[in-house]
Amino acid sequence: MKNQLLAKKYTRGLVGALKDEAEFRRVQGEIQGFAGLMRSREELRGALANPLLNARKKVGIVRDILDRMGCLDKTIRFLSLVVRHGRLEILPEIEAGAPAAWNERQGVLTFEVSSVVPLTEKQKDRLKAELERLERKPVSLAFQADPAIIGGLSLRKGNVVYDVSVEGNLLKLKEKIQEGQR
Amino acid sequence: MTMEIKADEITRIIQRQIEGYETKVDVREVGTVTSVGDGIARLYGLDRVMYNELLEFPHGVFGIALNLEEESVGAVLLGESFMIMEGDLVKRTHRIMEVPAGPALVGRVVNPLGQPLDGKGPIKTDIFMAIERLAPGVVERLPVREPLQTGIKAIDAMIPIGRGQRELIIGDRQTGKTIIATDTILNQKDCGVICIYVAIGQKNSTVAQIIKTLEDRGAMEYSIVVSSTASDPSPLQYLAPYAGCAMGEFFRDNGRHALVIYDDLSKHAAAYREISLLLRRPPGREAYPGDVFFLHSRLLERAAKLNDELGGGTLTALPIIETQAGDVSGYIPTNVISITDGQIYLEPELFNVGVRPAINVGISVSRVGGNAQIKAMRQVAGKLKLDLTQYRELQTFAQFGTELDKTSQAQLDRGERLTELLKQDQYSPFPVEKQVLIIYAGNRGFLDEFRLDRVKAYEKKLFAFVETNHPDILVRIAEKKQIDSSLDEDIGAALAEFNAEFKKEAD
Repeated sequence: MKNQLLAKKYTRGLVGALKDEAEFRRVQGEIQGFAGLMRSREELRGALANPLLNARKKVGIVRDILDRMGCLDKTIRFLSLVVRHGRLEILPEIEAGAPAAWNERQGVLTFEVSSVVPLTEKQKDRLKAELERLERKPVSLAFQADPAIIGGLSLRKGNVVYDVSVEGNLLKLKEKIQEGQR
Repeated sequence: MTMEIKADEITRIIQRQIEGYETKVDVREVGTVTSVGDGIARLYGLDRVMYNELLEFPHGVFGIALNLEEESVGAVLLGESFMIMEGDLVKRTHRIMEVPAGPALVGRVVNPLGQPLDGKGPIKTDIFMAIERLAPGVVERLPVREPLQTGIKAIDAMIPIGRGQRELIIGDRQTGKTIIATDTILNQKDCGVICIYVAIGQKNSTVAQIIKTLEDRGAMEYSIVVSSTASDPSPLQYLAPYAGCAMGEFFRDNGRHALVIYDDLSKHAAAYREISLLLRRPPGREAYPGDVFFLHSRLLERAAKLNDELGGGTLTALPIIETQAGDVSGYIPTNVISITDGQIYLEPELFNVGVRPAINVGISVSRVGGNAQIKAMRQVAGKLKLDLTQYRELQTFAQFGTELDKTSQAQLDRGERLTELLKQDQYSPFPVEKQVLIIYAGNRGFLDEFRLDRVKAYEKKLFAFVETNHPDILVRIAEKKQIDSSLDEDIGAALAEFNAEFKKEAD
């Protein structure tokens, strides 16, 4: 959770420096590529985690690799910064959080939708259209399966949860019963 | 058959209710736990949470939002924290912390959340009071003018406490601070004063002892005990006095009288220091946070005498502070001394030489003063204070073995007798008319002819004598509340009569 909070600061900074969707897509792809490389090459991971190498050397390594990959200047500078700060361990969170940060910058609201069974494309479209109508803003949906909610849907937008799940109703019923007892 | 129909009906009601729910979308604001430990949780999200708002954690644990920072919220947990994990969702309740209040609580022992601890079943009340409320303003108050009789001679005569006053009881450990508080509760029987005893950071055994004393002497009928013992988490200890105060405020706001005892505020300050340091607030003097004065001032300001439009109710506060080795110049003692309307100072030296209650009348004061006494008491107590002051001055001389003239020796004798007279056993509060009578006897020299060790017996026999032979005297003091010339003569005559009898007995 702490990593996510930290990653948010980096992703916000990153998307703030990007011009358009195309640039975002490219930078995102390049970060994903570098993260993939980190995952697959143990010697790279080892070198970047080695406490005997100072930050300048590590930045040099990362720059060389990214140059060879033909990355954009912005990607190189961003990843160099992450390495200089010694924050490479939050790269997966940065990778995962980038689309939401980009959406936020574009004024697109992100809803996390939890359901027990995956929704059909038709249901997804209907939900999206309905939310866009209510919010009067473009909406992006992230779907996930959550058997714990038993049935119905649970939508989360930032801090606010819109709960129409069976689990939520049961909890509410429990509260009512407890209130009656009091 | 009827049972079946009932069961069926219940099923239908539940079904209808559940069906009804499905149409509604439950909208709630949530945050996420980023770290938890030592009874403190840090939360991300909840950016619209209110200060002091109740938060709902998983597993039925509640917390209070105390630190509202730019990117996080610091909350104290009011229950066990071991079940709370990083990443757990926390719900806003949109409610400020409340406790149950009202007559249903009288006679009960509760924790600072208002949950019963005495095994006498749930507390059935619809009345809830916010634990943090603003104190009544200037317009809503009246000066303190009705006495709150403690039943302790030394206090009622020289350091009178009025209803709506805040009088600090201060002293080292084992000097009888709690005894003064419990005696005061015992003396409120049939006075219409609801007493609330708030135990903060006390031993469980001490609290049990106090409850037993109150029960044995029939004082639980008009008392509430709010208990947060040393083993309770510090947030509960921090909340206890506010909870007790809120329960007392219900009676104050409904035109009744309440007395609340905070035993003790030194431990309360320590509990608050613990919370503050865990919340990473900057430490100040003695590592207490900067707002430790406000912590106690906002609590004690809620003690008040309301004006007649608001019902004229009162809430009297008797905070207790434990000093270390008689040091009243500590941080918390000086704070509370400056907030309250006077203090009763208890000294271990006096306690050890047998002066009990061990009140140092020299530095104990009540800033409300005579307004909180009946006139009869004012008439006899004025001279008492003067005699005792003179006695203390002479005592210093006498210690050098100086030859004293007759007048000085008489003053010394008088002082010794008065000091003896002000001694009082625990759990034996006196009604004010008896106090007036015995102090009258001491002042007017009726005791001078008897040996010092006879004073206690004199007092006991005098009360018995007056109750059998002159019961009207006590009734007249209680009713008229002042000593006019005829009453003065009658008391004088009765005391002379008793002295003759007591002398015969002594011989």
